[in-house]
Amino acid sequence: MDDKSSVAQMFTIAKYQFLNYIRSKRIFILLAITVAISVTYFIVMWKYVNPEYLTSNDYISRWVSFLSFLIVLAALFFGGDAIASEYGKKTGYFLFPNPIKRWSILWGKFLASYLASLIMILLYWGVAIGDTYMAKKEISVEVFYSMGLSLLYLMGVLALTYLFSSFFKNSAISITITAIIYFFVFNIVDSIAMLTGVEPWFSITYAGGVIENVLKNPYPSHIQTIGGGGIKITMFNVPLEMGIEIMVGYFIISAVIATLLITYREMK
Amino acid sequence: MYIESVNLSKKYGDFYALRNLNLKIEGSKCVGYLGPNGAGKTTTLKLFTNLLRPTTGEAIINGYSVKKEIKKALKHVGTLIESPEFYPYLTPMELLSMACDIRGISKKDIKNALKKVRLYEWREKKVGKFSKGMKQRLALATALAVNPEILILDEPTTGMDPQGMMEIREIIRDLKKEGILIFMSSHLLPEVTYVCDEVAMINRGKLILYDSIENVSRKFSTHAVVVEFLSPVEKVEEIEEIKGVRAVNLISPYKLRLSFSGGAEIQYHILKELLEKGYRVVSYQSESLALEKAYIKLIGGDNLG
Repeated sequence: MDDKSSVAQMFTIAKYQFLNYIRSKRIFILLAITVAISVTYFIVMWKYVNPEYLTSNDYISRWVSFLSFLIVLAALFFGGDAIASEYGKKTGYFLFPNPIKRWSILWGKFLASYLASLIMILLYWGVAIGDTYMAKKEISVEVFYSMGLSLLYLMGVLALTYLFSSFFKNSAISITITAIIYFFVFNIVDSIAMLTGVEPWFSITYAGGVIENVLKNPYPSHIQTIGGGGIKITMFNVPLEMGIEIMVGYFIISAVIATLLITYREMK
Repeated sequence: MYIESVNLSKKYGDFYALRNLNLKIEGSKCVGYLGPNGAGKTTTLKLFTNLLRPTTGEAIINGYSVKKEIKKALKHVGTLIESPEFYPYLTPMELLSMACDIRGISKKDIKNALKKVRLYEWREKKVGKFSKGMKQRLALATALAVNPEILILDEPTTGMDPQGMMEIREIIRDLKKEGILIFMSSHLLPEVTYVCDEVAMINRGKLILYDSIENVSRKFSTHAVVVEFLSPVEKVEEIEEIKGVRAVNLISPYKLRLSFSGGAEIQYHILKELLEKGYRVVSYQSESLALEKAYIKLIGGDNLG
């Protein structure tokens, strides 16, 4: 019997993780949420937004403004407890004593989470592009740049989610803390940055701004300062290269730490 | 095929859960791993299955270090550690397929494994609905489905009803005939006596005995039997005169304890004499398990549980 390669084992884990998403109806729940959001947006856009005064990119950017939330939601849904549950719910006693390296488990699960999230994100993009085409009869190339950046953002966000999941033992705690960090901590950091004038180059939600910025023509200036009434607010628009670097950085650093954590973590 | 621990230790802070364990188990047999709660049994098994990392020393399976070459070390090993949980939305067929797919081996033994543990009827049901005992059976099926050469089992009958326990013990006895090496922890001495060929005892993280059940029985035998009769015993002196009998203690008019000198031959001779003398014996059994004697003598009041 030849040893099955670690990469092949990774795909095996991905297959069963994806099957688990289907069986647990998790994928259908997020699908329903995505469809509900898309339908709501569709109605709002047609009823309240007059496409006549907007360029094609301006029109679709209204759709894109919600995309970051959906990406974080997908990451939480599919990755929030992916590793933590192996420890907290004791399924690790079934999985870990197999002849498989821990990184194959981590990356197999990551692959399944990414694929499941991708389905949601692409569905949302499909509706957004369809609606924009119906309204403006054109789709610019920047839309596809934005789409590519959203998939890169998903990689960074999902990797960070997996890092938290590898760290915590309890699934609920892992999901809750990760949600708090995305929905509150990063937003607070971004707000503090506006008041203090310190660029939040370390914030992934700041980097996520490129998804929308890339649709703007011209690309918004990096730093804008608004003053008045004794208050000075600095608006940061992440430059394209910096946004990509932050997202890639988050992906690489989170991935490395998550891999080390799962490799050396014990099932006590 | 063999499993071996070389100076294997696991330390948490200042506390040694396992201290310098040196043990080599080789060949087709079943070895019972005994010890009180907290002695280090599960720690040892977790070190052999990559759930824990040793502080010092090596856990070796078939020549491969579990820590350094996990894929080779665990290639032919089936495991049941603690009471594992399963992905609740998958079925036994899918879970066993997953275990086989991970190893890249044929799934031909899956149905047989499920039949062996009497879960075949439940093969397409989601595991989330299973009871604790059923999950334990499924865990054993998972270990069997991968066609192992070595089985590492941590208290395999935990959470089962008496019938289930008996069935699992029979399965393990059958597996020995298939040439599998079984290393099994338990705190049930009759279970180890019934199922295993050898026994290793551990206490406070240290190995204190490793020998065959036969040798342990010989060393720790009590040379006493408890005999029950259908009618009250009237002439105790008559029994005392039987060759080999050293002492007779009346427990009740129907029950007495016979101490004897010698081995199994004498034990048989005494029973034969009793029957020939017209005593209606309804029960004739060793006072207690030799293993139990060994356990009490070696671990005794040191039981942490």
